[in-house]
Amino acid sequence: MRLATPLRCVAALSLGVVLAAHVGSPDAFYSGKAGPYSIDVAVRPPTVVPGIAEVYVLVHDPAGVGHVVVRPVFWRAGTKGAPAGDDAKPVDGVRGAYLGQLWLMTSGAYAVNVTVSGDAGTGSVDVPIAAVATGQLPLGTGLKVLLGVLGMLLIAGLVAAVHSAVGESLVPPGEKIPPTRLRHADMATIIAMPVVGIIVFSGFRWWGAEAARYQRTLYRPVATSTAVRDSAGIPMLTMSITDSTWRAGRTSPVMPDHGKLAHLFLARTGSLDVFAHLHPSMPDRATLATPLPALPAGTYRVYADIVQETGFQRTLVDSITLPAPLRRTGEGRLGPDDTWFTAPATKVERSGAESSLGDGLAVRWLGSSPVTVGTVGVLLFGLHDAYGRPVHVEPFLGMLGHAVVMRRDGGVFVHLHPSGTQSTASQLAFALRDRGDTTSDGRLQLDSAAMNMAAPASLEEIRFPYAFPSPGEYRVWVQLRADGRVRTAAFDIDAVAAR
Amino acid sequence: MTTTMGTPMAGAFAEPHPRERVRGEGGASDFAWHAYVVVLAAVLVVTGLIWDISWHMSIGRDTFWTPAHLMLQAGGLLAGLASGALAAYVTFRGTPEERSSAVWFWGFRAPFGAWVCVWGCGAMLTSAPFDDWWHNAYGLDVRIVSPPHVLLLIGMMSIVLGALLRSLALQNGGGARAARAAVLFDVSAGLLLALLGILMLEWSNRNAMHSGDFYRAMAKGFPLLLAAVAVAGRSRWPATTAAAVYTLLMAVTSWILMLFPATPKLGPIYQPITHYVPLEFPLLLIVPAFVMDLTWRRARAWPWWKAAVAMGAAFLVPFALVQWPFASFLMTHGRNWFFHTDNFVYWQPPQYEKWHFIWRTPPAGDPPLAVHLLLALAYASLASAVGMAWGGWMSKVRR
Repeated sequence: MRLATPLRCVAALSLGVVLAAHVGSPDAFYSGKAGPYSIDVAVRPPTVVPGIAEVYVLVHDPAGVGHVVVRPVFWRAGTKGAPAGDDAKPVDGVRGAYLGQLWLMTSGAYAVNVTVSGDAGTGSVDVPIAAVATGQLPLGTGLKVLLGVLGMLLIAGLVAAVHSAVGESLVPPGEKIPPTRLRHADMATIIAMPVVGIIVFSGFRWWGAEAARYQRTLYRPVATSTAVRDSAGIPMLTMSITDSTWRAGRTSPVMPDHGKLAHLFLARTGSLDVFAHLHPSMPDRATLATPLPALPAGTYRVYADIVQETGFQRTLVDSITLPAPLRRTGEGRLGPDDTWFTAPATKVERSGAESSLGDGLAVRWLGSSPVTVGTVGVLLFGLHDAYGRPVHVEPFLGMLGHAVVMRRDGGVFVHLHPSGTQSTASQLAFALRDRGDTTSDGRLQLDSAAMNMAAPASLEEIRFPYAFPSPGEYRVWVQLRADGRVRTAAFDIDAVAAR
Repeated sequence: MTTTMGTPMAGAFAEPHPRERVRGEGGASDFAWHAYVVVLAAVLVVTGLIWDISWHMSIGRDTFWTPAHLMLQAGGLLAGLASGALAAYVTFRGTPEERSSAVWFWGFRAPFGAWVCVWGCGAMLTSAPFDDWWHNAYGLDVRIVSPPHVLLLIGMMSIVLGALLRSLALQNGGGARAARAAVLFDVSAGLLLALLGILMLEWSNRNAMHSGDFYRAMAKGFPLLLAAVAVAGRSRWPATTAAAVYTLLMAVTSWILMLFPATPKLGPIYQPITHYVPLEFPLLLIVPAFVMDLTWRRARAWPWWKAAVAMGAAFLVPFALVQWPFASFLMTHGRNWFFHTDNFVYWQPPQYEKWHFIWRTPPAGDPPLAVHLLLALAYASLASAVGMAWGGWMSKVRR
């Protein structure tokens, strides 16, 4: 899609289908620094690969900014193998906004390298994205009619050409076509018609075969099998990747993100009143295992975010049903960063709606209500004490906050941070590979400390760069650490289509 | 002079001797200008295609407005518009004599070759929105051989075929212009040979030239066209001239393209390209084409099956005899500007470069080379038979 205005950009950003890194929310968002510049980046990957990604860059203080350049960096080739950057074009009417296009030619992990240069110098940042085929453009009615009419003309012209080839074209100028030749031409035309028909039919069959082949290349979540078993009095959840390619070791290994090999989320279907954020271990390359808290009975959606060494972010999707509440009689404990939460959500009907955390603290929804699909930057929260004063927020897993957005039907799921939807590990992997000095035995060696992106702060508002991808009812869980405890607040919000 | 043939195909070759033909009577209503225009259009189309392929291998980024596309589309439009204008003129303003030298087509009249050009232009234009949608639906050129690309290629081939037919009508009609028309025919045939060579690229990798598959694949296509040209051409060496046009076009465009700077605008980039990457050095088709021209002088009097086998052998034997050692030469001495075997597409990882210089290993259970060559001879003979029939028809095109 070619987008010329921010409005159209926003509209484009709303057309999510399925994404490798998340579910139903293909766009990537980044908020942070590019050298001396504070920027927001929204990337809409193409739905087909090779295809064109749209990159929207907003420079917060654009005074003195000369150029914004975007480049596609494929994980295997690095920046050395990336083409020269393209200038993103300023967006009319939006100060500091730039729009660029990138050609993604190969499926897999990419980073969109954004470089801002101006009076303050030059700064750049990598925004990892997953380039995978996620959808197929239908043939619109107008184009179908146009191609149909032109195709019929070509077919009719071909048959008529056969008549001329056997008939009149062989008659010397000035002479009349002899009846015998005319009969031959008619006969050839009659024979040509089914032949042309067979050719056209074969063409359609070929087209169908290509479409079927393409369907097989569409990205699908990796096949998994999830079960809960009792292990010495501790309920243990095991999520096994059953995909044969993965089990055979033909995929890039999983690497830790913020020191965790996986971030696993559970949400009870229906009321969505039970939510857990756990960090399984990986006893082997295809199994995630974690003790569970004493969850109530019900059916749960299970989402597990993992990052592969290529930088490819992937969400494993499954569900489990607990016929009875889980009982914990053993000694096994959850990890120090594992959290779970059970409470109804606050329905957001106006900006400023609050979700009480029970000890005088409350998380306030500072975004608009209702939210418009495709509008970037709607996830705004404030953490306040009983007197309305901002509370000191401490980093949790290296971030100032975590948000999980889920559409009620489970068709959209995304886990993001104030820095955006990207995995920090993926971002680091691109930087480390480019440096070329960070591998040992062919494996990336990531420094978890380098992923701690945040320092404690008292903030009026905590902002998660995001745009809802499709209309519907959403549950948003926000996790913030204050006073040494991780607090979870839940909000229900309606996302409505942009007019 | 009329040849005598005791076969069902005799009528196809019952034509005057070429040199008598070209001295025949001319016609004032032959629209020779149109033949020159459509041959020029065909040159633009084929050169544009070669440039476009090189563009994809070197720069990569593709829009409708790349100069290579513009050249290609300009060729298509030139042929289509010139032919459409000719049809309008003949239909509405033409003299009875001019109308009687054209063919009827849906109420309009124009030379047959002009209609083929119009059809080709229509096919090229139809392929544009189809291809644009295809890119958005299934990805940008995931596969080169896709339905819209084949439609585009058929359109381009029709433009060249239209140029060929216009030249034929002039050549076969005799007159003062016939000798020049015969040259135009050879040039058009050379352009068609270049298109065929491009179609054959997938099976004509240099490292496959010592395998039976390569000769079998080449035998299915080239003898058909070369035999047709040898049969229908009225110049002294029609197939040889056509092959010379093919060789020069492919070689010269490569040498010229390499002079121009180009850097990839798509990634990942594995080759530090600084200039256009050209297509491979052309096949040595000129040698079998020469032998086929010679063979046809005798074989035209033979029964068709005997002539077909002779023409098939006239293609395969000299082709294998020259291309086999030439491939060895390219492998060892081709890394220079003339043969340019050291040019790699930007997406070629360096670790795979060596495979271009290692002969392809036949798969397990592959029959011996002799079996492949016998099969290739059968294919070449069959292709020659079809080509001779086609050439026979072309010999009779008058409008």
